[in-house]
Amino acid sequence: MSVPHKDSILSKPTHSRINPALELLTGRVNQGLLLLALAALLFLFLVYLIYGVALFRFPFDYDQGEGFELWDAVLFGRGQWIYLDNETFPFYSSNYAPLFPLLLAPLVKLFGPKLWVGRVFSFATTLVIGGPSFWIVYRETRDRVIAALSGLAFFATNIVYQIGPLCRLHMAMVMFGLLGIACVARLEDEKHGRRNLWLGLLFLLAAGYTKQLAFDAVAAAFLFFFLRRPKQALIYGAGFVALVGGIFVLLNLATDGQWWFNAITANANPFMPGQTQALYKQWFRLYTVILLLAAAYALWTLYLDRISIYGLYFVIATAKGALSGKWGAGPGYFITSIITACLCAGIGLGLLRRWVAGRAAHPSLSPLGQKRWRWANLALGAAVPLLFLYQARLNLHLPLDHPLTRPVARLLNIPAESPHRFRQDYYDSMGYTQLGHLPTAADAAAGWQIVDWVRASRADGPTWSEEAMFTIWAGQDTVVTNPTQLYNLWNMGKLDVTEMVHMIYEQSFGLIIFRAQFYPPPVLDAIGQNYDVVDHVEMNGFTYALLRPKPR
Amino acid sequence: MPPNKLGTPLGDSAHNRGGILVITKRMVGIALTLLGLAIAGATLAVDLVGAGKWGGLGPAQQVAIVVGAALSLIGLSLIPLGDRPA
Repeated sequence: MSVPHKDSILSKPTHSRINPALELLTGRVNQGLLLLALAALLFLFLVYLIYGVALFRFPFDYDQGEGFELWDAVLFGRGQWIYLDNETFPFYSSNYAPLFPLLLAPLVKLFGPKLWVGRVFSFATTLVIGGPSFWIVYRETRDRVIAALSGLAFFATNIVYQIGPLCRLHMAMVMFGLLGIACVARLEDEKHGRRNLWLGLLFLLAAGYTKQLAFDAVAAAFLFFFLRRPKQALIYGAGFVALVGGIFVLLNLATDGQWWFNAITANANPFMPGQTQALYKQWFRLYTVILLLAAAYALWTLYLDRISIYGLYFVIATAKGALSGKWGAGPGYFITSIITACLCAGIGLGLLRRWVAGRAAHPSLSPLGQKRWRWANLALGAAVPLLFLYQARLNLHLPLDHPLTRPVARLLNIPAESPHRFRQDYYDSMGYTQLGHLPTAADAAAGWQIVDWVRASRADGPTWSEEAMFTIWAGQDTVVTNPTQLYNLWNMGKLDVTEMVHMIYEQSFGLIIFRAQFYPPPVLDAIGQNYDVVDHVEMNGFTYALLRPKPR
Repeated sequence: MPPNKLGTPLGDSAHNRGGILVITKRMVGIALTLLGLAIAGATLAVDLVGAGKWGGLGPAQQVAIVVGAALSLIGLSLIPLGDRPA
């Protein structure tokens, strides 16, 4: 005859068990909170979809660099290099790594040089990032709820929303970096260790040649590799460096040194500590919950478990944010930190939930101990959705005049107007931001008005434009100038503007289009002396000045 | 213990098992301590050679010294964890 264990349910004294009705009620409340958190995050995902579709339909530069990145794809499609001499006509060069425009080139050949091609591509990369994010958290925790919450939290973040659907290469870099990390994380897999490692290294190589900032993923991967397999990490690391260096040297030889000059030298701007400090403050203010959870997870793995590759990636990506203190840099430098924070927060919470649930059901615990752990489990069941709900509130951003989002804006009592907004039809908890609002039909019409100016001026020479899409739509054979590149090089004393100033004095350009006037001062002086403003066009919240040659 | 596809035995609980060097918490601690000291030392040394535009410690230097000190403290706190695999 078997004797019941002294700690079995039957032997528990009544006072050590949770009141079943209370437990049921708490469970229902927790389910309600979870649904609320999921609804909030799904709403922000809906906002992301609305924004994405609005941008796919908008044919002009929404963010200044988009047209130039599309133009790089056009140049590659023509079999031309994108690293060119800035001092000779058309005074254009790219300052980014080549993979993004290379991947875009066949699509641009197929669909034409239209921004939606690059925007859909970039948007798709964010969806790809969301998939592995869910999968990584689920793989580590076996907790679908947490995996869904942390995956959706990624799409809810202000910066992913703002940059995700732009024709910019940043999200492609993040995608390759994350895929590389996810593969290297499994380098000790019994069956597929070698395959995972090689695949991971391939993704990391792709990330680095998409954007130079991917060094955080490479560093995290090799540090993790070194912690687990030091000798092999050194061998593979040497091989990886040789491969990266080999491609680098070949690129430099093929472009006659322009790759090094435009992608490395031109990006080495002076450091401004104040800007970095402000961006770190904003980063912490907007992502407080996931950052604190991620930091806790990283510390836990550092002291109490084996160091996790995701924790390493989070720490290095966060440190990389220090590089945001230079002209042209911004909150985009924190995207990897934010994404890895979502991952680490999800893994940490998932493991915590599993551990607490395990303790609550542990048979060796005293009845009082079990009762306490069951309460802890219920409390955690409430805390998890509340944390993600609070994070969603921190990240709140929505158009105020869209039929699907207007009711929510009213429900949340968001004021219709504020002096701190770039556009009054869009609210963002980030505060002032030039990204995020939905471009309107009036914005598109204004763009076409500028294109008409380009076409009308064609007989007097090519158009010099601070944005690329006007000239691309007008069918101009080349894009003239990459302004920020010229401005950077001029500030470093590495640009001779003689030829462009000469052409301006010759009035070789039929039309000049300004938005922010990010050109070297001598160039602006020359334009001021030889061109007159003939029109101002408002588009997308900016005023575009159109200049034609002065009569002689 | 069976070898994995990398050609090395699996297992992560030993300091040096099967001829594989395992990086321990102590090693990581020492490395972080030295790295932190190097960062702080190099930051202070910048002033000795007269670089930088600030008279005393500039804002970037202050941050670098805090980061270096934090790294060293974290490193020191890891050293007592001994031979546990990192």
